[in-house]
Amino acid sequence: MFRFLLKRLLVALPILFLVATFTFFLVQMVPGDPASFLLGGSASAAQVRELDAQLGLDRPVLAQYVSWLGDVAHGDLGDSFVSNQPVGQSLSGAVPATLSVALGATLLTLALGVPLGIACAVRGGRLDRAVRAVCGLTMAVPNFWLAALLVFVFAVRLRVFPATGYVTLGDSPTGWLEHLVLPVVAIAVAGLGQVVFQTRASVLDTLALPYVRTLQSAGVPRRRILYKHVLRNAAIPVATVTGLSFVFVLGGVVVIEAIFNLNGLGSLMLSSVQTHDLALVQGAVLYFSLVVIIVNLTVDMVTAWLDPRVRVS
Amino acid sequence: MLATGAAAAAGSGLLTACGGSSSGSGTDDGTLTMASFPNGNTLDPWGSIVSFWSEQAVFDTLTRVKDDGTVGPWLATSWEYTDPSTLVMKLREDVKFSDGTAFDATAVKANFDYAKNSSGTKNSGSSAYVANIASVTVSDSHTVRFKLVHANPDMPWAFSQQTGWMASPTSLAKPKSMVMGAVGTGPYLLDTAASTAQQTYTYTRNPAYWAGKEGLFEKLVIKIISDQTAAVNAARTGQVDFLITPDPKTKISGFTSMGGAPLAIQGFLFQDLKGSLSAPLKDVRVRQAMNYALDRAAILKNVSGGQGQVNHSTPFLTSGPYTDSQVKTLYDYDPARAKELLAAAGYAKGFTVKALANAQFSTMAQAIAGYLRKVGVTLQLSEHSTDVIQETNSGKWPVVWQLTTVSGQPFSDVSNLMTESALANTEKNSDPKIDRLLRLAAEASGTAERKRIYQELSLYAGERAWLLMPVTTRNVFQWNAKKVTVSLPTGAATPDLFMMKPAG
Repeated sequence: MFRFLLKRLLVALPILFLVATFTFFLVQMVPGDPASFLLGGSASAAQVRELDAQLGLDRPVLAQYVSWLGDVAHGDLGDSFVSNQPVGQSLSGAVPATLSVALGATLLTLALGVPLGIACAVRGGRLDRAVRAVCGLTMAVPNFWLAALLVFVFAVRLRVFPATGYVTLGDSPTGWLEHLVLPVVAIAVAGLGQVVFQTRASVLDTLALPYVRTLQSAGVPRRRILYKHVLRNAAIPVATVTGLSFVFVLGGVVVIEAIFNLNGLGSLMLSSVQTHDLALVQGAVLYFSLVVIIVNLTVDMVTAWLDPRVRVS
Repeated sequence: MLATGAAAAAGSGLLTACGGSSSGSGTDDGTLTMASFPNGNTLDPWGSIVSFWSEQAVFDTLTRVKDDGTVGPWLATSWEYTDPSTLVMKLREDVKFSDGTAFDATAVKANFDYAKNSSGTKNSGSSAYVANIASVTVSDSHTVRFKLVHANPDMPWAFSQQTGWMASPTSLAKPKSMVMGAVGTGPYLLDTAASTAQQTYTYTRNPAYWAGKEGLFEKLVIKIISDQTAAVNAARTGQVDFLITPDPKTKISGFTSMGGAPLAIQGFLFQDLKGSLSAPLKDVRVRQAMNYALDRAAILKNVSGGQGQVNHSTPFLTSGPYTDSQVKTLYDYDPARAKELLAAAGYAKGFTVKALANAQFSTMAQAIAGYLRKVGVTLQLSEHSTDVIQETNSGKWPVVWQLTTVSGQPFSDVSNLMTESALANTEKNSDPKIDRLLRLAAEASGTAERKRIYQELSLYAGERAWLLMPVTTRNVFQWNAKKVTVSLPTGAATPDLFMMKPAG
């Protein structure tokens, strides 16, 4: 397992380097000039040139890249063009909200989706049809619409949960939970169908495999076959889908963050693009990439744990 | 001009609201919670791109707008123009910054020296004024002398806005400390432990505030909420007590609604008055024709939701005291007149011109283009967003989108749009009569004389048709009447923090 992990890490590092490089040059292509934006329309050309020099943007792009990459290698993402604060500090303030929502939504999706998928596959009949119909509907509902509806019902009308904001876990565990319920549900509901359908299909496929028939003919109890032999094999595609779903949630979380005023990574990135804070954009993209790589690595590890053949191959 | 500390009686335009119908966020506990737009990531009064209440809590201004809209003393007790480009200000002697540093002439000089550093101030509200300050001299411990690049009678007013915020010289020496450690002489102290940058700014009342505790809240919380629907939801659920609402029809139970003075003029600016990119624009009749083609009242109603006033393509307020009465009928919707003028200029069949549009204000640009099409003028819109400032300054667009918040101070407003040095005027267009009238206004001996000159200028500026701006829009804001009362001086677009006081 350790060798497997090491191999995966060795693959991840070049990917991170490529993403960092790609991000840097892609961000350079954003239309507009940071100094012009920061100084506004009333700035003279000389002021813009001076700020360009101060920010190091007057140097050749390649020189900027080498310098930025060197700093990144030392864990320094630079300073925000707008606030002059370290990019790492801005990111660390925004990451907890985003990760809380994304992780919460993923865990909720798994907690509901896996049992429902298994039930559909094993019991079939009306339950299967009803769950599939409901999940088909939830997949069609946009999460921003559901979020607005949840706010209206549970925050504005019933006053059960707060409409906006985020409280850190350290400040108040109950406040943290209260503020997360609505955004987590809004995201989880949309992703529920995917996990239910994947689990159901995977369990059905596994149940149809010859070794299951052998176990049945050997008189092994049905419950034991399901929990000990079927689920482990059926879980592999579910783990992959969950990983993809988590990454998808991270990518789309900006809308949910805006609706619930969560001030997370998505909002920070959007405002950074709007204010031409390229240092922050580069840092945020790199951070996103790192999270995606970690998620993929985790999925690989889980898959390898579930299926030893993966480790060998 | 000499201003004294005598307080003026509340003007007829004073709008005070109190009382309400039902509960918003409950009873008054001495805390005011406000929803605010993003503040530019820093509390540095000179470094923030946009800034407002989060800085007003901490920083006092040199002067302050009174209820009748005129400028009164605050940190400065009196001021005088010794010549049109030299302003001498006397300062209060009993004020200290919250870090214990004395507020004096040296502190004022330190602020403007900081603002005029190599990269210049980033604050859009103060940059033009700061650029016009040639030097600041300490005359004595509490007297400071501003030497201006160009004469500007509006400097005392500017010092009541962002240009007048005074930060502690100690914090100016450590710029990074100001991001979340602003130190001023203001009514509140930032509670850094309870604040998170770009999320929530929490303040407590400054117990040593030089102006006393009257009208102050015990605690002030400013929540940064960029999505306006989220802000409305927060108000509806009692999470905020004051907000600017995007839709004036938005109803929030227990909240009182008010519209500010319409000050945001929107539309297009003719950059190519010399006709080098688009020959027709050189002819004033063509520009006037394009103005006659717009149904301003319809655009105001249908595009701006009726919130504001029609604008007659001048930087002057439609109903301001400095606006000639004839301006109100300038460019009344008349497509036939537009066609006549185009024909007289030799463009009876119309023409096509490229225009730089801002994607954020697409609807307004489309509406203007639609009206122009009816008289044969095709406005080829090219929408930009992130690079709109760079494109505006590129000099390659004969017509550019412009949204300018005017101040109601004619000298500044005209200077910022219609003079050769105006930074929006990338083609360096100039008009000798506009320059002359501005100079006369700056040198005028009295208010009446200045007012007469401004009125003449308002009509002339409109007739020269440098602008194609059909509306001036306003902000609409709402507050929980059980917690706060809000009074808005004449001519103010949005209430400053000192205009909000505890209810009851």
